[in-house]
Order: sequence, then structure tokens, then C-alpha cells
Amino acid sequence: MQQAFEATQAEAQTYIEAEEFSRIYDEERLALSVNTGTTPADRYANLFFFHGVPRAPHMTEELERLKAEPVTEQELQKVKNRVRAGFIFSLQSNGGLAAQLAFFEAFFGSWERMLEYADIIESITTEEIMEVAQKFFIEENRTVATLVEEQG
Amino acid sequence: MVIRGKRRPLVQGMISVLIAAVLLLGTAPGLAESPSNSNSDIAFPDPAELVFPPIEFTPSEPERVELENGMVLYLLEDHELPIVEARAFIRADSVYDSLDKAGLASLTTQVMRTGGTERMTGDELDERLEFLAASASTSRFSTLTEHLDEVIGIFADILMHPVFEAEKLELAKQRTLERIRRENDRPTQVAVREFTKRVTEGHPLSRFSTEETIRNITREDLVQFHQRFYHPNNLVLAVAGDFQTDELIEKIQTAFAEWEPVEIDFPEIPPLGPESERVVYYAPKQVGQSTIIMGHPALQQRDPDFTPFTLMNRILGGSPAADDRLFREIRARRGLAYAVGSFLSGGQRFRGIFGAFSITRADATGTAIQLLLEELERIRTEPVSQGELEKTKNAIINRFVFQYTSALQIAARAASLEYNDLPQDYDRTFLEQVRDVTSEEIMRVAQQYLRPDEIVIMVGGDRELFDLDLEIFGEVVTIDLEQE
Repeated sequence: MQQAFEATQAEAQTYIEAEEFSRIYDEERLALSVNTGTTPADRYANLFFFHGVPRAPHMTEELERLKAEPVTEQELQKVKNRVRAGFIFSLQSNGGLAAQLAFFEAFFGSWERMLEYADIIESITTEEIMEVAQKFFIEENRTVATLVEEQG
Repeated sequence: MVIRGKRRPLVQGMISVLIAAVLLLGTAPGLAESPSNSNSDIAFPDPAELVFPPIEFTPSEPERVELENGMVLYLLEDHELPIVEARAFIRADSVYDSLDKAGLASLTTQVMRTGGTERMTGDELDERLEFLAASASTSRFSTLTEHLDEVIGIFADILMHPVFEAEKLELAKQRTLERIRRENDRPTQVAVREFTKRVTEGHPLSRFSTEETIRNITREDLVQFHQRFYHPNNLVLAVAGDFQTDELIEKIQTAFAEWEPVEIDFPEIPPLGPESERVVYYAPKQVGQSTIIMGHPALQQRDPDFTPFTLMNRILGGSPAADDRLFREIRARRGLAYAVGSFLSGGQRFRGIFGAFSITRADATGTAIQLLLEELERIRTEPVSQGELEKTKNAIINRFVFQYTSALQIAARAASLEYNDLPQDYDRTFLEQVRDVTSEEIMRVAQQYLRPDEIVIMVGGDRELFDLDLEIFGEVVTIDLEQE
């Protein structure tokens, strides 16, 4: 049970970080485009991916910043609101509800974990965001693919 | 909100046919041999032979409230999730655009939302709504219950006090111009647009925005359009979700307290004109696949013949499951078309447009036109079989439930009925009438409302590649797409 709880928490944090990156890169115009997410799925340890078209060699700067300083409360609250609302809205249709029930049962051991999800999202702190960033965004975990033009 | 002419429903109709076609392709062949069936001891009965009791279904009734300023509310509580959602119906749509400023109604609704209000700039609105994980525009809002008060306030502000920031208008115009520039690149879209123009000729529904009409529109036009039409007595609002009705009425009253009713001088909109001789319009497009759409105005929803006509259309080519004559004859049996069907689009405020369409490889264009015309003729002259009739009735009645799967759908349906001057028991009456339709009635309405001699035939494609000369179907008028 404890494990399931932690998994949920980690998952929620992943979403939050993904949102956070998109925003920073959109606003600060460091990149032409940026995407983050997780792959391939969520059942086992997975990959956090980060895809960008940089304007200058800045790519890891924001990752480092997330490790070094906490995001603002305002930024975090916005993402929490959006993650929680997205979850609640997904329960509107019968199909959405069925998918969530199955997801929580399969991944976290019991559909009843769903009842805690909104509270877990709300409980995440800016320090936890920083901790997760420090734990996972390390050089040994990093694979970088860069598309370059072949020289003559 | 706003019912936008015949454009969108028509395209959507085609798309849904396409989707239905894809689904059929994907599932039908595999079913009989799927391993779960063959390896299992369970004998699954033939789905076609299953017998069910008739569906008894009575949707909940939203509460209707008319505020002092004339605003009409349809409210339906649903406490399952902490969500409140709304749809607004306002008579301020593109039929009120002037000819030289086609596109004004649409730009007005866009920039009311993006161009800020007296309280907040457009950017502040974006940011605040994003923070709240809510959405609001002229035609809807959606929010978690905990932010309801604030979101109703923003929604009211957008409707009452838009300031139409010049920069956001420019952005909306540029986006519209870009869309127009790309329009002619998509053959199906061209055909739908040109068909609609011809079939509604002389009526405001035939007005489509062009580069010129968009450039003619100024900020002052938007301000005036808003002042003319956006008044509480012109608004029907459906709200559903997690609220207490009495409290919500108060909240809405407070948010819209300063909105006074104004008598609106609606422009006179004529009915759709009478049909003319059959004409073939040809839109040249160098593509290997032709788009054929043929049709004419038919009848309004409030017409007693609308129910038998709906059944006729379903049997002919309007089945949402592609279980109809046009699909079977032109696609399944002859393999001539990927998308094929018929539709009845609109019909709320004006006569609906009936049409039959086929998206066909170029060298089968003439054959497809012939077959479409033959099927129109057949349903006018031969009674449909009892099997077709019963199956179609069941499909309509059984599908009905799915139009009411959420409280918002129910409230919005009630609001849209009032908006369209239809009685609240319209759907119930419609279903009762469906049960009683006979094959004689189907033939009668087909004879009365399908008129192949007065049909507009729109063909988009490359005439060089067609199998038959278009002249055999009637006088051919070539459309210069550069001028459209």
C-alpha cells in the first residue's frame, strides 16, 4: 500500500514537472519548441523524455535550475489545479471512469486509490519537485539525441 | 453557440460517415474468427437475433427560469462530480453579417473572449483561466465547483464588457485570412462551400467570408455588432452540474445584474428561395478523386413531414452506421467511393438542406452521379421494404438514449429547443411519430421533397479524367476558384 502511494505521488510529480518545463520554455523563448513526457508507459520504471529545438545551447540549463531552486508556489498551484481538474473531468464519461478504475486497480493495487489522488496532488510541495529533479535529472540517466547535418 | 449556417454540420456529417466507414472496415472481417470465440466453450448467440425489451427512457427535466432582464436559464443539478458546465445560445450568428463584411459575427465572438474586458486584459484572462483550469467564452464555460463564482463572473464579463483589444482583433483576422488562403487546397471543403453557396443562393446562408470581407471589418464593426445583439433577452443559457439551483440563480443574477434588456432590431431574414432548374456546377481541381454533392432545400424541423423525411434520409444514405442504400450500392457493391451518403443539414430556422454525396475516383465520377440520381429516383417510386423500415426505426429509437448521457447534454438540448422555437416535448413527439411512419409515407415525402429535376449538382475534380461528360446531367457552369 505504501508503495502504491509513493508511485501515485511520483506519477503526479512527473506530470507537474512536464507542465513546468513547457511553460518555462514557452515563456523564456529559449527554444523554438519543447515537449516533455514519460515513455513508454507507467507500469514499470520508465523514461522522462525531454524533446526540444533549442535556439542556443541551453538545453540542460532549465533542468539544472529545477534542481537548484524551487519553482514558485504560483507555478506549482497552477499545475496542481490543472492536473486535478484533468483527472476529475476524465471521470465524466462512462468510458473515462472505466479507464481510470482499471488504471488504478492495475497500477496501484486498488481502484480505491483514486479517492486519494486529488489529495495527493494537492499535498506535493515545491521541495519535493526539487528532490525528484535532483534524483532523476542526473547525467548518468541522460541520453541525448541530436540531429545534425552530415558534413560534405 | 450560434448556429453557423449549414457549413459545419455538413462537413461533420461527411466526416462521421468517413469514420463509420473506417470502423466498419476495421472490425467486420475479424469478428467471426477471433480466437477468444473459437477457443471458448461459451456459445455466443448471433447479435442480430438477440431480443430486448423496448427501451424505456425518460431524461431528467431541467428547470426553466426566466430572469427579470429576459435571460432564460435551463438548470439541471448533477452532483456526481465537482464540476459545473454551461452552454449559451445567442442569436448573433453569421446570418446577420452584411454581404461586404461576411465573417463579422464569428470575429466578434472570438475577440470577445481573446480581446479582454473592462476588468482584465485578454492575456490576463488567458492566464487566470489557465490557473483555475477552467474555460470560458461567449458560448460556454466549464469549471470545478470551487471556482464557480469567479468563472461565472468572467463569463458575464466577456458577454457584457468586452473591449476588443486591437492587437487581438488583428491576430484573429490574420488567422482567418490564413484559413481562407488554405481553403481552396482542400477539395472536399471547396465542394462543400461551393455547394452551400449555390443551394442557398441569394440568402444570407450563402455568404462566406473572403479576404476582402475580412479586411473590410474594423474594430468599430465588432463594437457595434456586440451592442446590437448581445443583450440578456437574446440569451438562453443551459447550466448543469454540481450546484444548488436556488444559489446558482442568485449567482447568475448578481453576475449579470447590470445587464439591461434592449429591444433588438433583428434584420429580416428571408426564407430560402425556390428551386430552379437542375444545374451542374463544376469546380476544376487537379486531383485524382472527385467530390460530388447534389441537393436542394427540403423542409424545416417543425414541419410534420420532417419525421418521415428523416427516416427516408436514413434509409437512403443517412444511417450513422453506414447501413443504408447509398453505402451498400455505391461503396460496398460497386467499390466506387470511399465516402458516400446523404444528409439533411439544419432545418431549425430555415428549411434544411437535403444532399447526397460521394467522394469517388475521377474515372468513376459520371457513374457515381448516375447511381446517386438513380437511388433518389428509386426511393421516390418504390416503397421501402418492411425490413429496412423496422431496422431504421429501431436504430433511431435505440440511439436516442446516447444523446442524453450527461446532464449538460440534457440542459443544452432543452435550451436549444427554446432557442429554435421548438416545443420542449419535441424529441418525445418525434420518437412517437417515428414508431408510426409507414412505407407509403416514406414514398410520399420522397416524392414531395426530393426533386432530382431541380437539384444542384456540385462536382469538384479534374474533368479530363471523368468517365462521362458532365453535360449529360444538365447545363454545366464552371466555377473559377480564384474568384471565390
